[in-house]
Amino acid sequence: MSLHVFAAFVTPLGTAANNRGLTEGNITSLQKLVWNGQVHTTVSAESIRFALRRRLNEQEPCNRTYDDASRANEWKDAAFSAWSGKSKEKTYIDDDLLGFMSAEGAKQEKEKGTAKVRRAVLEVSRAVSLTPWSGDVTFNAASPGATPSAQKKGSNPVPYGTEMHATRYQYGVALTPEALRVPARAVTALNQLCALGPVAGNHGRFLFDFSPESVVFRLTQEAAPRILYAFEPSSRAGGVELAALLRKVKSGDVPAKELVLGGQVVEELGAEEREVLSGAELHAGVVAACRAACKRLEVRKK
Amino acid sequence: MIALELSVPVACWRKGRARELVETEVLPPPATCYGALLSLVGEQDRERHRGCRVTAGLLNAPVISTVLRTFWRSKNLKVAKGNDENAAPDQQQLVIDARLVVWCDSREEPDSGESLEDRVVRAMREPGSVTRAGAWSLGESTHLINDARLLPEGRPPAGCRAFLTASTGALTLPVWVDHVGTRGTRYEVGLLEDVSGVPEVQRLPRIPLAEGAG
Repeated sequence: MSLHVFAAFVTPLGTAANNRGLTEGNITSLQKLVWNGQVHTTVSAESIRFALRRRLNEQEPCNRTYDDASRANEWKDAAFSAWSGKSKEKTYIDDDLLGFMSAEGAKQEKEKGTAKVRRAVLEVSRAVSLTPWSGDVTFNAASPGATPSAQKKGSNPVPYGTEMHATRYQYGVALTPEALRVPARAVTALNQLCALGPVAGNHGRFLFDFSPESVVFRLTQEAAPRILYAFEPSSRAGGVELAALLRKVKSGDVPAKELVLGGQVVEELGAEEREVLSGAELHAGVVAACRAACKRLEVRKK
Repeated sequence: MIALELSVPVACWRKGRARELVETEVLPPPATCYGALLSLVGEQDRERHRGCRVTAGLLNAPVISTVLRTFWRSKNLKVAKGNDENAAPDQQQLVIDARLVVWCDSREEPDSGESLEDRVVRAMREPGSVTRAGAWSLGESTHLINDARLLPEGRPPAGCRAFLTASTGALTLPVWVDHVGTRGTRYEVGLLEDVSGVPEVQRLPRIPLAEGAG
């Protein structure tokens, strides 16, 4: 019997721009995909994992850290030796939660290579904007000399454009605490995800606050989360709702007692929706919901 | 024969030989579906249910979007992982909002205890009886399955396009992947066929037995 923790997060409203910028001519573009038949912007799971790793490192040492000055990854144990069967070394929290892979090719013909692999116990899905991208672009000019690489000659300002998206992002995670070397790290991970802060991808200028405004936790033995990308724009401008999730609860696909909800979305629930969710834990804040989910994990441990 | 109806919000069923442009197959290959079923039942030995038949069918026509992402690779072993030439941006195709049926038939599994088919049914009906870990994905590990429903008689809920074997088919998909080198990778040739009922068992690609077995 395994208990899985699934969570769906939605961020506050913000303005995304220049995320993991791919320059097309003089435009820094946002990543995009087609979602529900319309173009939406997206932020990779790797960006979110990067931001989470940075926060985890503030709680306890991580194997991999990013040096902003040299713009390079630094490893304490690049060979992941703490994970070998005989090792008595302490494992790092980021390896435990986010997994690793270290592959080496065969040294000789016909021999097989080796790979040290630990699959992530905490999986993060790609973030997708809640609303379609309407095509907002700004055109700007950098100060003379500000971008030497683009300043081919002369001292004229360098023009550039930036795609922007004023929206919220939603994404999900999946975690099986018992699969961790140190199960208590599940609580650390959930706490940090609920206060994630800036997700910047590979670009220092981008800042979008991914600290969730609302969250849905589901603690279940089922393998399928059924709550991924559960948030939808509501009729109230800028608001969010959980219409599809409520339908699943009503139809019995998702037992309400397995749910813990927190944040703005709870404030916006009507009386009928609260009735459908009777049995679920409803909290006004994300932090309180996170605390309640973590408490369920601790109760189960006892 | 049983089937699962699945929804997968974002996925990439990477073509084995795709390089700079990480192209996706139109639907998950049998090897990928087999891996997802093993994950569902908490089986870590991928040899355990070789011999069963597995395939997928698409219930919708998902959009394929392309994004840019950083891929890690090992170009220079003297440089730390993820630095310099050991990381580079590549385009990746993503399949958005796929709705699928995954069939499984265990009749030709060598007799070795509870079959994969029976274990899948148990995992869906009594998830508490299964010990498994990690997210349940179809393809890359972050490409999570969201909804799942058991179709005990293997009948799809609506017409779909399924990958079925055909000696003159135009689609070749892996049924077994050798992750260390490619020598052991095995393929089945088939085509995407419109299916409205339970497909013929013999046309489901078979996960091959180990060399020398059976």
